[in-house]
Amino acid sequence: MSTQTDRMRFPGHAGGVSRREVLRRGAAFGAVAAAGGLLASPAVAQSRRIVVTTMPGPRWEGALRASAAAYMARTPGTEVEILVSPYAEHYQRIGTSLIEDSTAFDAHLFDPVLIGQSHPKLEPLTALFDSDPGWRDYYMNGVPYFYRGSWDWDGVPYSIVHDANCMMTWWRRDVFDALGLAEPASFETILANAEKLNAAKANAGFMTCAGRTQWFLGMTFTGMMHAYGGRWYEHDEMDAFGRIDPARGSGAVTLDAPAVVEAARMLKALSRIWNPASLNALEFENAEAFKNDISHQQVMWSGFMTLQNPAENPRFHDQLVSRDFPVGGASPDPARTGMKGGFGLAIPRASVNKEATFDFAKFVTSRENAETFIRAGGQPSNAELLNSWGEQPQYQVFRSIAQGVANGHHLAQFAEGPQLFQIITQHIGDLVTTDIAAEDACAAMKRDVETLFRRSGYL
Amino acid sequence: MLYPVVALLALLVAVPVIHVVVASLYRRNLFQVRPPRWVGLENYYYLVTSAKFEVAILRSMSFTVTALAVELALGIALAVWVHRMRRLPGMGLLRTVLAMPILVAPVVAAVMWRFMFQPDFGILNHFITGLGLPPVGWLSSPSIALLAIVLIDVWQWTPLVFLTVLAGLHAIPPQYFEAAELDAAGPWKQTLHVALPQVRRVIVIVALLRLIDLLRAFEIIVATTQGGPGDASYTFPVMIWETAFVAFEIGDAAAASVVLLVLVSVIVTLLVRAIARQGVVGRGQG
Amino acid sequence: MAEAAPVVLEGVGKTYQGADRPSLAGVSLAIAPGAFFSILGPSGCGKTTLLRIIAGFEMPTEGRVLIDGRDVTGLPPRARDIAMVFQDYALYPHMTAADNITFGLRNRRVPRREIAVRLEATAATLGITHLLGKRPDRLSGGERQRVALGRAIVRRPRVFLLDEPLSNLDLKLRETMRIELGRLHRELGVTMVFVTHDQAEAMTLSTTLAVLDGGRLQQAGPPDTVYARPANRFVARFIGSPSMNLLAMVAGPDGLAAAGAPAAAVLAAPAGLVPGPVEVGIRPHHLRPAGPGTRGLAVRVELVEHLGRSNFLVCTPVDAPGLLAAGRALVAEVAADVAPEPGSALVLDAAPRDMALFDPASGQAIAAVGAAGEGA
Ligand SMILES: Nc1ncnc2c1ncn2[C@@H]1O[C@H](COP(=O)(O)OP(=O)(O)OP(=O)(O)O)[C@@H](O)[C@H]1O
Ligand SMILES: [Mg+2]
Repeated sequence: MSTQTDRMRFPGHAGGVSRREVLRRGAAFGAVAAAGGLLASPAVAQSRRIVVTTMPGPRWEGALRASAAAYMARTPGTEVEILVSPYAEHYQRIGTSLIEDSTAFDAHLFDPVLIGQSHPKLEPLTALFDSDPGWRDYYMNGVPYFYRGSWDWDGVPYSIVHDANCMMTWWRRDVFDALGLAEPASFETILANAEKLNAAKANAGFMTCAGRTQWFLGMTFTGMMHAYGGRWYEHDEMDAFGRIDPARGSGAVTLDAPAVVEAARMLKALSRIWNPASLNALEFENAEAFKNDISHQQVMWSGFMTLQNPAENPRFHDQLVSRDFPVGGASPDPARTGMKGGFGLAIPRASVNKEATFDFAKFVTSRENAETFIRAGGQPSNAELLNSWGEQPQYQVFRSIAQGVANGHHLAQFAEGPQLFQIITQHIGDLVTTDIAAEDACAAMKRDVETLFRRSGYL
Repeated sequence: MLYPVVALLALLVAVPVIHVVVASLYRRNLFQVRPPRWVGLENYYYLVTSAKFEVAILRSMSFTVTALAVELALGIALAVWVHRMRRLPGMGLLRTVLAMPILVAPVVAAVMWRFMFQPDFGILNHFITGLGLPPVGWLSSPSIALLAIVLIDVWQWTPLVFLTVLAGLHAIPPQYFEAAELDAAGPWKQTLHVALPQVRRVIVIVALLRLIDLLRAFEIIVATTQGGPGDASYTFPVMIWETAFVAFEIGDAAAASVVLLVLVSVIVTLLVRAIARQGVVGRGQG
Repeated sequence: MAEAAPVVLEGVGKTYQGADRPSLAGVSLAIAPGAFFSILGPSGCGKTTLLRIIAGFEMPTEGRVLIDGRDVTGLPPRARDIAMVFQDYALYPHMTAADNITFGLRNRRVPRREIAVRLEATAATLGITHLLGKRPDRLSGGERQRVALGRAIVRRPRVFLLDEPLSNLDLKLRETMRIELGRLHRELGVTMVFVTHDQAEAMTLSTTLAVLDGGRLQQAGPPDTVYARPANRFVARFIGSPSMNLLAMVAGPDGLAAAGAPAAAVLAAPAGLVPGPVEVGIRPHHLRPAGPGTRGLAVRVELVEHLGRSNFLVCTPVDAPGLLAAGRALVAEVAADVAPEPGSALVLDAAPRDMALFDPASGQAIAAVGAAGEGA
């Protein structure tokens, strides 16, 4: 007792005692104190604490906190701590803690972009999956292969994928009906609609998050490029999940291929008629534009789902429609697909609470937790959940996500992936802000990516 | 006794710089598990041969020169005006109000302005369209974005110029203005021939401070356009930020940082020399 | 040269904003055209304030200022046709001496040719022609002083105001410049109003001397009158060094006796003095050692200060405790060969015509005796 108290008082001096241990002792001490100073019972002594990192926002922090509360209520003896840090710090924390084999964290909100570099430091989950065949089948059948595969490496899963996201087209049903516009099933339709919408009301026709901000421009374009059947490079194939096998290399960079140039031309055409705010808009600003009756047709991430919630979007929530095509995965040709995001929970190899953490992750994705998870702001990855919840008008977008994640590309998943997006952002930025021709922008983009790949040994 | 202290200080200054220089000689991505690879000057080669390098230098130049010119002109003008009106009641309060933007964190200032700049529902366009003018794409128009950012910087940092120059003006003994008054110098001539020459040194120093700061500024840009639209506001420090914190390319970012450090040092050294030759920083009267 | 103008102050008072007492009160003065008018007084007595009111930098809170018969009280400085030399010169640091001197002319749109002529003449008068191309930071203190004078002279003002213009110079330079100022005044024939702390300066240069204390004018008149016939106890003490001896005495039928010691009269009284208590002022050099056995002030020599040309004898009265104010000594200035031993007894005498007489109650000069100064 007394040594524990002392160490609690001087956590910084508890030489060799990790943050985790200090926290655990703190928890134990708290429990003992609550029990009125009685001798620690075995149950209390075995009380464990698992630490899960996440980024802020309802979709991540909100959904995980709500799930953690529900889990702790159901599973006495386990404490789940949700540790939140902003985007850049979150990634830095993952990077540094994995390199140092830190035992301080039991699960990270994980972006598949990181799997290639990090998987040697992550727990392979095959055995844990097999320890619960019921859950495994529910998960494997529910989360589409082309989606969860992004978090696999050599067929071994390294995350429990609990969050799904993809880009999609959104529009206002009432406005479309009034003007007799067609459902935006292709970029050509989007363009034609935008012109008519603009004629009816300035800047209402089309909007997207095309700004440099967090490479949105690069992502918007990449989604279009894939939808037109283009590829970054020769070996950019669906089941490569945006990765480059170092032994095989990338193959020729194909960013000047006709399909890519075609996509660039279409983006240029859209940029001539889009709401100028697109060039520097954040997602929430695009959302405001919908809510305030400013724009009527947008290409945006599915995170826009809150707009179908009457509380978030009182005026138009029941008029807002979303479809994964033309940048989603429901294209008849699986190669012509859009862009996906999303997150899973990965367990570091250095974690000392792997089973407990896996148990929590299973719970997060379970049917039992679905209501808690979704109501708190989460976007599940399980098609079964997406489709059933998608029947409610407020979650209509879930059905689109279910379709969107069934096929399609993920982000570039090699260490230089962010740089690839930067290069695309830079040249597509030139394309939409200057008079440069689509061919020239694509050729320049190709040259820069070749340089990058040569430096990285992929070419 | 003195030398160890000087050596220690030199070390304190040098260690981080050496660290960055060493980092610039390796190719290393933060998420790369394989160890960093020694590449010599390769990072520098790719940096200076890239198209964005040139763009970044150009944008930094126009941003720095424009903001510096406006901040100095406005800050000095305000200081002269407030100094002339110093006997009026309420000037102290006015001075405090004018100084407030300095206290706002740059990122907060930028986010605040971002809201005001928003083209469809921001307050600025609300007024502009209210006057019957077309809305302005403050941060989303490639030809305006950099100026809009300059505007934020001007809003935030003109007060520094203003306060410094005002302090300098207050330090001028009043006899100089009285002598000029007897010499029948009007307000304009008093400013030109009495006030400004006496605060020349102050102006030079505050201009140098602003120059260095502007050459390194990125918070406001990152919080508003991140270098866009296109590359309209892609300054050198933004390039470094993007390389380090978006692409996580540590080696490339270090190389760019070293280049920026050298550029800033060279510019500042040349300016200080030129100014010293003019005798502005050198000895004065008395 | 422009003609000299008279300056008249009528009941001028000044209370600075927030001050609890006036810095100047009821000052009335007539400064004759072409006068060299010095203002003397202890620190804080309002000299600068007075000068700045004449210049127009301060507004009097009461009274009027007239220059050349014209009420200029409400006029800005530039409209008063005055020039001012500031204590620390206030030369424009970035301008050459020539530009400093001609700045005012250029602002007044004087034709260029005329500026050149006047600059040349001014520089010649002050002997600074070789300095014209230099900036103030390359000039010595005396040279700066001359340039500052040049800036004032070149304008040919009708009134010339100088606020302690020599106080920043060393002793030697000060003497030179003092002579220079006198010469300038004679040559230019302008009205000069001169503030100083230095009595020697004031005495030698002035045609009229004004003494201020506590914001009130104590006396104004020719320097020798002020010196010889101080209008009151303050002026008596303030002017002259060492100070005038002030003796509390009682006038009786056979002369002046020390107050508080009903002994026999020790000094002869001026004619017509009304019997009763009186304060008698005697300058140190008017006290002479009397021959042995003669009537006079019996003193003991405490200290002898040798000044070369003369000696100061610092003495205490014997058997006359009420004669001097507490803590004061009697000072006599005697020939260099008179050097009694400290501790020795001495008798001092003074002639009635060398005595200034004051009413012990009011401290004012007793007018019955001679001329007690003018304008007080
Ligand atoms: N601007 C001012 N505001 C308030 N009080 C002032 C101001 N200027 C002078 N005074 C006060 O007025 C009085 C006279 O000041 P002034 O400067 O005229 O004295 P001075 O005779 O020139 O003294 P010195 O010999 O020390 O220069 C002083 O008590 C001073 O404190
Ligand atoms: Mg004074």
